[in-house]
Amino acid sequence: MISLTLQNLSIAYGPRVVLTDVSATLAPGRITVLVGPNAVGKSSLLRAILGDLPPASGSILLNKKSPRAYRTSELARFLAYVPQRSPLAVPFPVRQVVELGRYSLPADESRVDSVLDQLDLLSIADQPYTTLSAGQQQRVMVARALAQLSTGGLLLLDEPTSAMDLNHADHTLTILRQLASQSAVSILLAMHDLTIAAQIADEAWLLHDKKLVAAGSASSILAPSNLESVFHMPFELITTPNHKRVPFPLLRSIGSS
Amino acid sequence: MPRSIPRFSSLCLILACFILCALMSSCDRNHNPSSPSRSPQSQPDAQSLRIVSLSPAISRTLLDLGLASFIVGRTPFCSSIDQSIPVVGDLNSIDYERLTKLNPTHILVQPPSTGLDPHLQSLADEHHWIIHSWKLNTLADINQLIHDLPEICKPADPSLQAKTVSYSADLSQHLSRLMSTDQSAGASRQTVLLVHQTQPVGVFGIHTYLDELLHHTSYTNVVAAPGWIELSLEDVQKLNPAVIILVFPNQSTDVDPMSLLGPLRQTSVDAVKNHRVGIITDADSLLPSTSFLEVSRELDSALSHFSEPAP
Amino acid sequence: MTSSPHTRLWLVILFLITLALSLLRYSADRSITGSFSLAWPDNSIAHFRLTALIIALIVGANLALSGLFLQSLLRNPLAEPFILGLSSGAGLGVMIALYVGHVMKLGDLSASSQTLPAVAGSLATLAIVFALSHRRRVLDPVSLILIGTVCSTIAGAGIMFFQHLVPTGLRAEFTTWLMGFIPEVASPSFLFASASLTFFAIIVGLVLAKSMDAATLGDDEARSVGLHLPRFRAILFTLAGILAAVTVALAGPIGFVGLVAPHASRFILGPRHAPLVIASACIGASIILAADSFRQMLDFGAGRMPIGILTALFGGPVFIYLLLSGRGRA
Repeated sequence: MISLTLQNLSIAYGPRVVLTDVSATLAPGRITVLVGPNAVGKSSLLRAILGDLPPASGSILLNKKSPRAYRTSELARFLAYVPQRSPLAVPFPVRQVVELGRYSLPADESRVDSVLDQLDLLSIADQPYTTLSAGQQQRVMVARALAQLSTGGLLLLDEPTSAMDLNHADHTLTILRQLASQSAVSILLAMHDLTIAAQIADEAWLLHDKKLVAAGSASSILAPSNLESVFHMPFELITTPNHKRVPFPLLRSIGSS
Repeated sequence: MPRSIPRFSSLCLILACFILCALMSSCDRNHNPSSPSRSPQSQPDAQSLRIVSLSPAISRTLLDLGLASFIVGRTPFCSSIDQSIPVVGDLNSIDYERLTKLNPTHILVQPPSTGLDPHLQSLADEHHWIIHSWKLNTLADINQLIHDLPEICKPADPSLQAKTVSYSADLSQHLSRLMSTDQSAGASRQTVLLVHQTQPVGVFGIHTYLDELLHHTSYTNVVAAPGWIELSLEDVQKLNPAVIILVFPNQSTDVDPMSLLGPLRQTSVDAVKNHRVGIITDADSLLPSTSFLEVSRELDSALSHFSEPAP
Repeated sequence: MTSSPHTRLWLVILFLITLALSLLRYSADRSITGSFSLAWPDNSIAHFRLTALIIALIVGANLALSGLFLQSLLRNPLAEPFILGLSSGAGLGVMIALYVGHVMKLGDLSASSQTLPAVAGSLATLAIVFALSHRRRVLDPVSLILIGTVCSTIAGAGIMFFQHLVPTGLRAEFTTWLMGFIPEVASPSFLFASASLTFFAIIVGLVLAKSMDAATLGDDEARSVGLHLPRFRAILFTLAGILAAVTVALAGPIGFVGLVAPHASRFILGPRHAPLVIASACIGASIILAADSFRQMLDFGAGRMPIGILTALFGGPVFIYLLLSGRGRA
């Protein structure tokens, strides 16, 4: 199983510092959500772990090695990534986009078929990617990452469900859940929707003001006290039927009326 | 970082201004029309005759008629006359500011196919400049020019005037002789390709003055189409000229013409096979002007080498 | 690399079209009087036709492949060596070399000795376009075209500058060269080297086809599926630049073929790059062959028309169609 450790990591774009002194270890085989306000550096952190962005200082260790020390094809064998929005603008049929996940791996048609089936994409497998809705495109990109990923790998996702309808978002998150529990895949998931994040996550990393302010089990990190100091708005804990305690944001417009 | 950018650009701007100022002042110095140091012999007539020639062919003709000292403005292509004479542009782009500063008495032009620039005409009317224009394609056109110029540009100095008239008569006589001895009736004449560029191949067709110069020789132009023509090598091969004459102005004469053939060398036409390649190097050989005299001489001398039948 | 029967059929058809147009170009005959006929050339002119035919094939395939590679490299469907200014850059390189040759009295430069300055100019222009377009990660097509147009204009001004410095006699030669023409003679070794380069480019294109597919994803995604972007880009960059430059050295700048050929291929075969490489090369060669044959047939009395005029006249409207139909965006 893959291990991911961040040691005193700082990320910067030239003189503009995005994150400083982040130290954490990703819980293997579990789902960790990455939460924080806009522009706090969630996507940058994911890109740094991918090796796309060199750390300004500190280090990222994937199995005790910097991601930039791996050959890209080597890295692709255990690390998959789903961006917030892909700039893919070529009318590839859905199936071919999913096949791109096998770029560094031997072609595996049955695997592609099963992933397409899993994400409810078989019926549109021959449609051009560019004609799909944003939510459908996100599902294709998740499918592409799943076609790439093998047991014990690491999956990074940046807001993968932001454009999906609730049914498909739920469906997709359920698949991620299974992936973590059945295939021992470690998942790091950047998310905005805290109610959904709290329901899906085992662990949570809370980013605020260029720092990792809290990391640990999702139920303790996503407590209203932590969230209120980061998001500057009130939260209420509600309990789901399966006894999960989930933060619920109270909109100020309602509070003042 | 961002602060340094405006500073840098303002620096550039100041620098550019300096350069511009320097250029402008130097331009003024160079092209001051009444600069006494340049052409002293033009001084006595400077009041009466100031010619701007907007055609290199006319410039060359003025030179040969002994009138070059009256030229105060030229085109960048007038290579035969004094290069320190200011350039006022060519017919398609005239530097009106410079033209006005030069304040000529005569403007001599070859009208472009679109006609004379109306702006030039109105400016000339305003300043009482006289515009004369000649269409120059054939030997007859050249003859007309030679005939007209001494009438139009009369120098004040009577001895110079006489000289010009006699030059004109001489040239005209030469020309008439060339034009009258048309041997086109003679049968079995050898063919010539008149080449002015090799890549792609550019040649003189009929109704060009160079073609006409061939008429008094025992050769004939291999191209039957009129004007300046571009040919493919395939066309050249099919035409199969017996002789190739390269018309390369300013080419040094001690080069073997065979080495200047470029892609034409790859053809197997008779001229190449038999090394019958001649060259005309007069600086104005592409221009229908009094250069015809020198060009005709060069042409005859080149062709005379090939007069006996091919081996 | 599986390909559907539909794809294979189309590739065969395109190959046959290229072959047919090759035969047309080889037999297109215009007599001295201007009449046109189809006739097998006799020995004295056969080698001119054959050389022109081979150069047309090389030039067409090079332009198409260069366009295809640039579109993948810059992630931009409107990229093309002529529009991006590569041709002008190469032209400027050649012009500087011609000028230096003229000043130092080295005599005429052959096509093969023009290649090096052309490659230098082309790669320098591409480097500028690439650097500018990558400062802001992915640049939209229209901005890229603008950058290319500006680069092209600057290089064009440079060309005019050097043209202005040379004497009048040489100027006509330079001007004709600038409109593009298919020469009828070339040194056999240079022709062989160019043809080998084109074959090499097709092979590399086929090898890189999967990578070009993956590169249509975002940079971070492409990297995450295992594509080594710096190496991939270096190869495409060099190859696209050299292909464009060799074309310019052979035939001068010829516009729009690099755009039309890949798009026509995509229109027929879809976006996968493996069949596109072959189809683009065939279509590019076909366009040049057709234009050159057409040029052979036309005679308005002033000799042959530069081929660049024809490709721009036919390619320009296609470019506009692509923009309007939205394919330029896809």
